[in-house]
Amino acid sequence: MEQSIADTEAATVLAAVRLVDADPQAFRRWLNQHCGALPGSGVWVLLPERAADVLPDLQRQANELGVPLAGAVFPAVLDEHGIYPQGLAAIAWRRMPAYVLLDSDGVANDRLVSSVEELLDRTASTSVDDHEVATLFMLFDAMLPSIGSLLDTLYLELGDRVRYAGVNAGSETFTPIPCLFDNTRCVQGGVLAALLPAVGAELEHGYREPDHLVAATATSGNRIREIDWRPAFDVYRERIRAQFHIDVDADNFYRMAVHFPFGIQRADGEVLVRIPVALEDDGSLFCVGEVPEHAILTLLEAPAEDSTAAAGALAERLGGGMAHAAATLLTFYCAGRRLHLGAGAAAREVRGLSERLGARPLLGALSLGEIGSSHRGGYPLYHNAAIVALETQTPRR
Amino acid sequence: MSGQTERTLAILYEMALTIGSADELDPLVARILQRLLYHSGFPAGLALLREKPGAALKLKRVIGSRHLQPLQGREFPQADELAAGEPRLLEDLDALQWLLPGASDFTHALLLPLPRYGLLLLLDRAPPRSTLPLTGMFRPILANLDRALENCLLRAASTRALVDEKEAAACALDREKERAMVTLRSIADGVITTDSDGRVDFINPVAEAITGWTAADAKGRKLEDIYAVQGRGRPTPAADADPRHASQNGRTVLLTRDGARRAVQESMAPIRGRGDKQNGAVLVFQDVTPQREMERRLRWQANHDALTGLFNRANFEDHLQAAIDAAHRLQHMHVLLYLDLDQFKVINDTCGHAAGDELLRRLGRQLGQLTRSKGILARLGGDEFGLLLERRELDEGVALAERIAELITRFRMPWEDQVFAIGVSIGVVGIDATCSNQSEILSAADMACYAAKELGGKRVHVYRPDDAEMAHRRGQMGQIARIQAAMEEGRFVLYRQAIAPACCPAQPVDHYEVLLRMVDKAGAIIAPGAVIPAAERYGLMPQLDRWVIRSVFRGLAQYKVPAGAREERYSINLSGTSLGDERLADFLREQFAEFQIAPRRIGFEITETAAIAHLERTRAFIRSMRELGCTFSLDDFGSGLSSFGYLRDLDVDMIKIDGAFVRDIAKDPIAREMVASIHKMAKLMGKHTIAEFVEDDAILGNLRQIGVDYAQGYLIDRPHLPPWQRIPATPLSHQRAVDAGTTSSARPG
Repeated sequence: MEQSIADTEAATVLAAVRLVDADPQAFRRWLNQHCGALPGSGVWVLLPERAADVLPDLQRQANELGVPLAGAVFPAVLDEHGIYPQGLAAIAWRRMPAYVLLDSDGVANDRLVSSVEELLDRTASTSVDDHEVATLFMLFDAMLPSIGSLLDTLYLELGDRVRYAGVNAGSETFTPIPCLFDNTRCVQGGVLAALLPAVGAELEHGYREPDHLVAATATSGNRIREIDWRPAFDVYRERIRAQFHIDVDADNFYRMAVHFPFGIQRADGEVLVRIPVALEDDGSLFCVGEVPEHAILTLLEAPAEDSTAAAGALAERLGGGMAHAAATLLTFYCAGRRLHLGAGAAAREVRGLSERLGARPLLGALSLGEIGSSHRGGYPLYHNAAIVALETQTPRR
Repeated sequence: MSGQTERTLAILYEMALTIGSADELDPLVARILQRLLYHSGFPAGLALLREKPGAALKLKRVIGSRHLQPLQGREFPQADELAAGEPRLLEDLDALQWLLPGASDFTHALLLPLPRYGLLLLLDRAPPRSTLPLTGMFRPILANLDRALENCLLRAASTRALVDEKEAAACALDREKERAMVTLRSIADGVITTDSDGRVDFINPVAEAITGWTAADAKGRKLEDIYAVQGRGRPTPAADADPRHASQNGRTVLLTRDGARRAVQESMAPIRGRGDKQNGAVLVFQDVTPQREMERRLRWQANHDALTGLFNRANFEDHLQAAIDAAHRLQHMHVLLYLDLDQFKVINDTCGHAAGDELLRRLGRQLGQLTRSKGILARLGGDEFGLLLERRELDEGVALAERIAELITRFRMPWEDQVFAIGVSIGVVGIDATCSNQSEILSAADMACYAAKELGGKRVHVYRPDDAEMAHRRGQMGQIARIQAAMEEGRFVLYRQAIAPACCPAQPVDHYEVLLRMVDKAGAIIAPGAVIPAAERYGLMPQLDRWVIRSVFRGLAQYKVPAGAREERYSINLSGTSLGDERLADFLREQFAEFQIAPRRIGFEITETAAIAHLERTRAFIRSMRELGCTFSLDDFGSGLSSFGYLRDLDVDMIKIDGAFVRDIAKDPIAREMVASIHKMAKLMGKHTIAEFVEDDAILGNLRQIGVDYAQGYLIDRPHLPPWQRIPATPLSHQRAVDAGTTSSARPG
């Protein structure tokens, strides 16, 4: 599948491609064809973790062609036809979005806000129209334990100067790996933040609103140590048995937990999904995404395998807010959601989304956590089990 | 409990915890707004707060709106109305235009008034989506928040007061520190402070200048790197050092950064903190290099002769005393050499002091080389040197003295177009346990040296107590006491002897030489040969000369010349020492004036040796006296150096040919030829000649043949009392003695 539209308009996608094989030479040819002669253009690359070892070759090809490169490693890549553990996905930008790549030191030293402010200052008079609020698209290393707090800080400082969207990258096994890269580096524990022109970004998970609440009485980052002042796993197991009549123990935890994520309750009715992915010896639960201490949790009932609610809701919102029907929709689909629904259902959900949008081309990856606002211009929230769709523009003809 | 209630309580629970844990205003406000936005889904929020109840509302914090953010910190009294009442939802924001002119896209607001401290406002561009009772559910939280705000404000005020107090204290401390720093920078001493590890913490400009280290380079380095002391490690204050009584060391040598050496005087004291713990040290030091150099120079000067660099007399006497003590205590033998240069004054006077000084310098060097490690060599004064040979036998001393005499005899000093030779007279004295004291030994050495000189110089004379020459010298010394007593008691008397024209000695005489005689206590006349040498040797001649002058003048003034008598003229002998006295001319003018004596009546006789010893001064003296009308005779010509060259330099009227030639003129052709030559040369120079010791007609006949102008001697006239001489109280009835005293010389000295 390939789209290619020759145009020189700034901040538009020249071409988007999913290469079946992560072949550096094929990547070079494609890159040369679309960006080789265009100063200021650049490329984003989404690499499935299985193909991560070709990254140095890809960097070399981009460097030899003098094309700016940024991207991340994900569990898999996807297009409107399905989800693939191999190959690569690439998006050629007419003008490479301004970005900053911070390593773990940069994150630890609170340089994210100041770096984004520098990006805003740098792009204010160029690619970002002052009347249109830019979208800050962030790729976090999924192993960062404090993404929720980072978002809080960002919003406190930047507020509505930008809109917020993003996903987490890394390995589906939650093994720490260097997963964020540009032309010369590939960092671990960091964040890659890019400033995109005013484009639409939507998020939806479709999990049902819960009834029974519990409190995360002792947490640290991604780890819930206690719920209702008792070991987290004990309460978790009791609640699953009470609500769903299923016994979860240490042996089947990894298979079952993806179907019974936690939800963090908000006053506006929105629920943030936190999928437990690890059980510690002390009974604490390790989730994808930060759980604030004293957060009120519920056990969510995941959508049924044949549910089309999420894709439908997302398509509805995208269809209402996005005007570029021919442009590729950057789409990130939660890896945990695929675990819950199963590979076939997940692929069907992706295809369904495309179809509901008039067979729109999709290109993206499986993500390990998703960031978006409940509505446009709102507070950035950290989700699991969601689908993020990021609108792009096609070149004007 | 319903699900909605549960959810509400959960949110309130979380917010209550958020408030409860806050103790600072800004983070509390930010966190509350952030949690409200998080839970409610409103995209923006702000807090309008008072700093105390009743105060104006101020926009304390905005989150989520870049348009409202610039208004932060501004006061909004219009908001007072909003702050009253219950929480409510505003769907018409026209009333908020004073606040929202730039954010008019907001259409809905949730207003949350606080009981005392203002309000919170959540803003949205759409109606809120929450199914929860937003207007009511936050009421308990708002009361709670109001109290928390009060606590934070009180705490902030308290903290501010504490900070102010702390800042005031810090300012005072800074001022104090600044004062201390200014003081340390201003004082003239070098100051370095260190921390407890001995690393430099502060270094003042003086210390920078002395050590060569800048403060920037020195800071943090080990003290011993900056303050490197020769032969010592890191300077440390004594463990129990009291800062008020810091250690002192006056002999420290500091190696500066560029390797130079500076003498420093230092003191170091510990800096103590709480519990008497040593926190560092302060080192204060002064560069005393100039003082040390001055001290060294003064010490050197106190012990050395500036001209030659040899030890000086004081230092030499110290060594001599130590040697005498050692001789007494340990029966050691030592030898003292006393050196007096021969004819040194000739060089000094003919070529100037520069030549004399240079000669002394060179000779000092040569003597130093010869006697190095053999003994203590010193310049004792003028042209005199001393050499103390410790723990040496007399024979060794004599041998060395001979070598020194030989060295000096061979010594030549070129000066301009001349080459000077010089000799030395050396007196040698052995020092043993029998020697009584220093002055006795020096006196013995001096006597031995003088004896060597009397024997013609360029020789060594060893002092022996039984030595006849020494006995004579000792006799001289005894004579001095007698001379002084005679002077005090007025026991001197003047005689005169006529000087007559050789052609016709029988004619009346009007020219006399004045002769001095001493009368002993028994009234006997003492021979001048026993008086004059001693007086010359021991410096009594100036007194005697002046006494003679004054006595002659007084006598002439008081004596009434018989009617028809011729005006008499008198020649007065002047010693070499008097010729060296620059005040003599003034003295004479005073006497001429006082006694109204016509200068033409007075002449002076000076010996060739005395004139040469003070050549320049003598020439000036002659000139000044001749201008007055006085005449001059050069006495004893031919007996001494007999240099016709001096005749040209000395503007004298007459030459007195030495009696030794005159006496033999009739029987010794050489003596006759000498007299003839002197006369001839004198004539060529336009000077008159006088022959002494004319004792018989044969001599007088020869003199006439040669053409000598004047004659003096027993044939012409015997010494006698002049008519103006006041007769001493004791009758001078010893004509025999007078005659005996003038057999060989008409000179008084």
